[in-house]
Amino acid sequence: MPTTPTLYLPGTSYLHRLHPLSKLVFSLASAVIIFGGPGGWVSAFFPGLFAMLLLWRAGLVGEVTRTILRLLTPFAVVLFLIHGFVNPQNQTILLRLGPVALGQEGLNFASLIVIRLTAALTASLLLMVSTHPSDLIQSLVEIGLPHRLAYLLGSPLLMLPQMVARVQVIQSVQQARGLETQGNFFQRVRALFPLVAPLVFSVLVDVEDRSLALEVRGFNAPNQKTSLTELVDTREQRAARWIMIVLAGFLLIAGIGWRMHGGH
Amino acid sequence: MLIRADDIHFTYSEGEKVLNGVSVTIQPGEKVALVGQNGSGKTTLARHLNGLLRPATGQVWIGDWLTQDHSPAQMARRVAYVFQNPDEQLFHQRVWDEVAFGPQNLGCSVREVAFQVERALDLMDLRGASDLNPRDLGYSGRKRVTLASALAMQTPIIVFDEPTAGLDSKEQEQLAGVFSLLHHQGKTIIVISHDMDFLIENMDRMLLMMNGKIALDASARDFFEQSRILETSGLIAPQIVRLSQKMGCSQVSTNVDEFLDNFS
Repeated sequence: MPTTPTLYLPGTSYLHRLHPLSKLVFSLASAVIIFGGPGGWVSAFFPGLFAMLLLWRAGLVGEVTRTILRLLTPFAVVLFLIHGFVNPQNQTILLRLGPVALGQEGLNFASLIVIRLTAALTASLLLMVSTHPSDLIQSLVEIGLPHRLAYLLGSPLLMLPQMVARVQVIQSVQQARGLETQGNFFQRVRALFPLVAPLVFSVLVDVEDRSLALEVRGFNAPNQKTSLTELVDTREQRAARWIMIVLAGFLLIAGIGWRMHGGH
Repeated sequence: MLIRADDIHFTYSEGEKVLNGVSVTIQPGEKVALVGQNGSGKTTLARHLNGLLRPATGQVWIGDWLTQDHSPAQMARRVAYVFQNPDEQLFHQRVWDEVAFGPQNLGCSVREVAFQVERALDLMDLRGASDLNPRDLGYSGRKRVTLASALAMQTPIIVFDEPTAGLDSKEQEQLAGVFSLLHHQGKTIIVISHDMDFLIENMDRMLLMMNGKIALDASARDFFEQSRILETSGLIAPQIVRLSQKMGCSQVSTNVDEFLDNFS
C-alpha cells in the first residue's frame, strides 16, 4: 500500500520552526488579498512574490516551483486557449487562424487568473511544505477546534492511500473476471463505472468499522488528550498574525470599493 | 478485573435475535476463548464487554462498572478491543504515533505514553518499524501494529478478534508469548477465533456459542472431549486432539509433549 502523499517536506528551516497558525494566517490573508484586494493583478502579484521570497530564504523555492508548474501548466494552457479564442470580450485581434481569432482581452483575463492562482498556490504551499499535517491540526485544537473536527480535517489525508489500494484491488478483481480496464481513453472511462458501486459501498462499510475502532481506542473519552509535540509560539508571531488579519481586512474593503467603482 | 454478564439478550435492528440469555462470569487473569460458527453471537457478545453494544435486557458488569452507564470511550480504560481487519484501525502515518493514539486519548502523561508505546513496540517486535507508515508494512506487520496499539492502552482486559488471522507460525508463536506475558501480569484475555490449534495451546477456558447462547463452558482439555456437541456446532477439534483420540489415548492431549506422555 503506498505511503500517504502529503506535500510536507521535513526540514529545520525558519519556516518549519514558525508556529503553524502564523503560516495558516499568512496563507488565508494572502488568499483574501489576492482575490479580494484592489488593483487586479497588483494585489495578486505582491503576496505571491512575498511568499516566493520567504520560500527562497527557507531553501524551499525549488520544490515549490516544480509543484506549481506541475499543477498549473496544463490548466494555464487550457485557460489561455479558451479565453484567447472564445472570450466574448475579445475585440483586439492579435492573430487570425481560419475561422478563429486570438483576442488580447481574453489573454489579459487568462493572465490575471493564472497570476492569481499562482500567487494563491504559492502562499498555500508555503504552509503545506513546511508544516506537518498533525502539527497544523494540533495548533487548531489548541485554539479551540473540537478534536472531532480536527480529525475530520486530517482524515482525508489518512484515507487516501487506503482508497487508492482499494481501487487497485477492485480493478484487479474486475480484470480477473474479464473487464477491460486498459486501452484507449474511452475504454478507461467506461471501466470507471463498474468501479463506483463497490468502492462507495465498501467505503460506507469502512466508515462504520473505523468509527467503532476509534471508540474502542478512547477517541471520545471526556478527558483532555495528551499532546506529544509542543508548538512554540511567540509574542512577535501573535502580533504578526493580527497585523496580517487587519491588513487583509483593510485591503478586502478597499477591493470592494475599487470594484464598486468599475475595477475588476 | 471481574467480568459478569447476567442473562443478556440482544437483537439487531434487522430483527434477528443474536444473544438469547447469555450469562457468564470471567475471573481476572483468565484466558478465555469464544468459539462457534459464524453468526453464533461471539462478536456480538464480545462487543457487549466494552459497551459498543448494549443489551436489550440483562446487564454486563466490568468490575464495578455497568456497561450501560459508560460510553465505549470510557470503557476503553478497562477493555481494549482489537478488531480483525487491521486496515480499519489505522489512523496515523507513523507506527509510533499509531500505538500512542490510545494512551493519548486516555490522557496519559507524555512520559507514560512514551513508556507504554516503547514497551508495546518491543513486545510486538516493531521497534525497527516505529518511524514507518503502518500502511507500508505487510498484512502481518499491520496486524502487529494493531495488537501493539491495544497493549499500549494498559487495560486489565483485552479482547482479540481473530488475532492469528494472517500471521505466520513464527508470529503466532510470538503472539502466544505475549498472551503468556499478559497472563502473568494478571490481565484477562478474551480471544474470538476459529484457530483451534492455537486456542488449545494458549487458552485456559473455552466458551462455545450456539444460537445466541453459551452451549458449552469448559477447560480447553474438557472442551474437546465433548465430541458430540462439537460436531453439532460444526467445530473441528485440533489435530493433536484428533490424533490422540484416533490413537486411543485415555485422555485428550493439548500439545505434542502431552500426547507423547499419554501415548507411551
